[in-house]
Amino acid sequence: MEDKRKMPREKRNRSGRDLIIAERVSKDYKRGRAEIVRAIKEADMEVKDGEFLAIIGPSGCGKTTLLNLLSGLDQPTEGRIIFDGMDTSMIGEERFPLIRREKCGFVFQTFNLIETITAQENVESPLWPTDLNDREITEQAISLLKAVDLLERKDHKPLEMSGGEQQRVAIARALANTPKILFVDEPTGNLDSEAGKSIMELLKKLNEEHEVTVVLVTHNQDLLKYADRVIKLQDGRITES
Amino acid sequence: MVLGTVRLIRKSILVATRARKRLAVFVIVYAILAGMVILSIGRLAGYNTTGLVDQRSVVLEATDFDTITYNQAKNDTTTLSHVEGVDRVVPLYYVNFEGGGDIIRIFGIEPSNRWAFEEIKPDVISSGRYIERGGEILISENANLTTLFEESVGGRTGTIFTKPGLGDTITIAGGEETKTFKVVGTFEEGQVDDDPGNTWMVVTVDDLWLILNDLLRVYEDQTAVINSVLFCYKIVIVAEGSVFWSAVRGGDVWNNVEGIVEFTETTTLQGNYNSPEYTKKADNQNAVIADMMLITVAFLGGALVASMYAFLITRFRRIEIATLKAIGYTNRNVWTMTLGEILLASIAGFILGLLGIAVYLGVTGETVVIFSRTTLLTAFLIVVLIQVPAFILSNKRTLRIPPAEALRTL
Repeated sequence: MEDKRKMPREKRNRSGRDLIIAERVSKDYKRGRAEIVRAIKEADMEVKDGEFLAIIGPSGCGKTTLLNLLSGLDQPTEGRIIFDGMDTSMIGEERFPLIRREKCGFVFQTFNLIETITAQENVESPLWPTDLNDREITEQAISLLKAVDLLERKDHKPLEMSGGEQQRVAIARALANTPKILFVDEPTGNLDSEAGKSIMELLKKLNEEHEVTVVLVTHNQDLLKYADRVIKLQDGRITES
Repeated sequence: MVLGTVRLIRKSILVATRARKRLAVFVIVYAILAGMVILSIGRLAGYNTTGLVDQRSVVLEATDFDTITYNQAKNDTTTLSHVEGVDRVVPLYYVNFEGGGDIIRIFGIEPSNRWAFEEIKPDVISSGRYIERGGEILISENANLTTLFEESVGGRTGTIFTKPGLGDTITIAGGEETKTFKVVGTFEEGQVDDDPGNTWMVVTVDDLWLILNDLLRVYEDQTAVINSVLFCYKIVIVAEGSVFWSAVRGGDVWNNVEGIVEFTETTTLQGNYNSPEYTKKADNQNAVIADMMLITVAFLGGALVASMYAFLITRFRRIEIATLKAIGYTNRNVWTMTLGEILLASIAGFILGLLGIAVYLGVTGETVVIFSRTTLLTAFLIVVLIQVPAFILSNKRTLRIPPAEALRTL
């Protein structure tokens, strides 16, 4: 159990099976009092176990909405999402966070680190509600900070770190629960090109060496070279995959 | 998940202490409110303790020392206890030991009626504590008992010796018998309204009878003898009813006080008493209404501040909460994280408020009985109780924050 949590994890065989399946998924939003906007229109797609999938499209095309649906952060208005064999609409509201905690990691464009605590505490934070003891949690965080090359910065708070460093901490935090899949939203959006490149290489390494499935959402064409497969989104509709 | 929950509470306190400015502001606000609650509870509790005589009693004091005999006072006590609206009647008896021109008066009081003895109530104890059981005695703080008393006491011989101080013993001898009392407390000298040189002491009622029966060989059925030894200093008549609710219910306790006063003024009692001492209904009512307003303001203010704090925490930490939910925190986990901060601020505020009051009382020299276990526990429960709306609000707001918000670009 302990070995599974530590980096680097054992390499898994890419099964190529569908980890997530979206079937004719649509998502409506209310704009103002009466207007209903359809942000995602009848999307059919799948995410294969172990792949690096990029979802690309211009701003406002529904990329983040699609990521929310695939990760179970939001529910579709129509259609269904099968996540690791489970229909997300059938999973209760209290159980879903536990599934996310076990299987998903998230990397956000704005890092979303807790500013008042240190890098190490941020990495530890997903494990706080679990029944692991403090020593196990610390070991896991240290191992992950080492993996993202930030061990010497472990006692620094986010605002004392560069954007690239903060994103590395965010990636380490996303890996704290040894997830099967990482959902990554515009990870380089707030970084300079050098830091952005380093983050993408880290994600690629995680995908290739540690078999973590990555779903990347971006509008940046330059990032597509890291992906095994690309889905294009236009006005809420998948136009190419 | 117990380990996880305990850790979350710990970590939420850690996170809260790092947001120092926010925490400091709310701790200070809570401290002010907690201080108001503690003072109010102290005042309300005081209606049955230090303010008992002012709030709900009529005092009939003897016109002079050694004028009202035991039997007169006993009959008057019986008469008064049958008056409508009387909760209890507390006669204060004493026995004199005379010698060298000075007098020692030993009073007997039930420890449960200690607040009825206005001159020597627990909050005028300058060192030690009030008597609680037999064998204990209170004395005036500068009592000088170097004189040996060997003169006649109502025809019997009694002796008091030793120089008393806190923790010392005083031995009273009568005939072959002696009784030793331990000095457990001293009271402020200014409390005694008697001729200079005269000394007051207080023992339990049982001990007073023990002095009479065993040492002085004076018994209740020896009417003439006991009336020459045992006198009544005053009779305190406590009116029935709750002071707190009286203000709401039209002042029934104070109506009772006025009814008792009217009775004493229109009825001839056996003893010679001064005019009854009591506080007028309007004065009492105003004081209680002011206290009730203070506690209402503290209560509502506390609930408002707690709710505002909960609102601000969930507002300032909205993205943080959404992120925590996205990374696998359940609603309960997130709520625990906010609760820890609210609890920390309120408990720290309570302690600070308490310290503030202690300093205030120290500086002003005001005597308020607030540091009793009951008062503090009640005040603390109220401070916790006013957090309830905050807990509900923080829970409601936490539930409403969708985890998808974490992915929204700021």
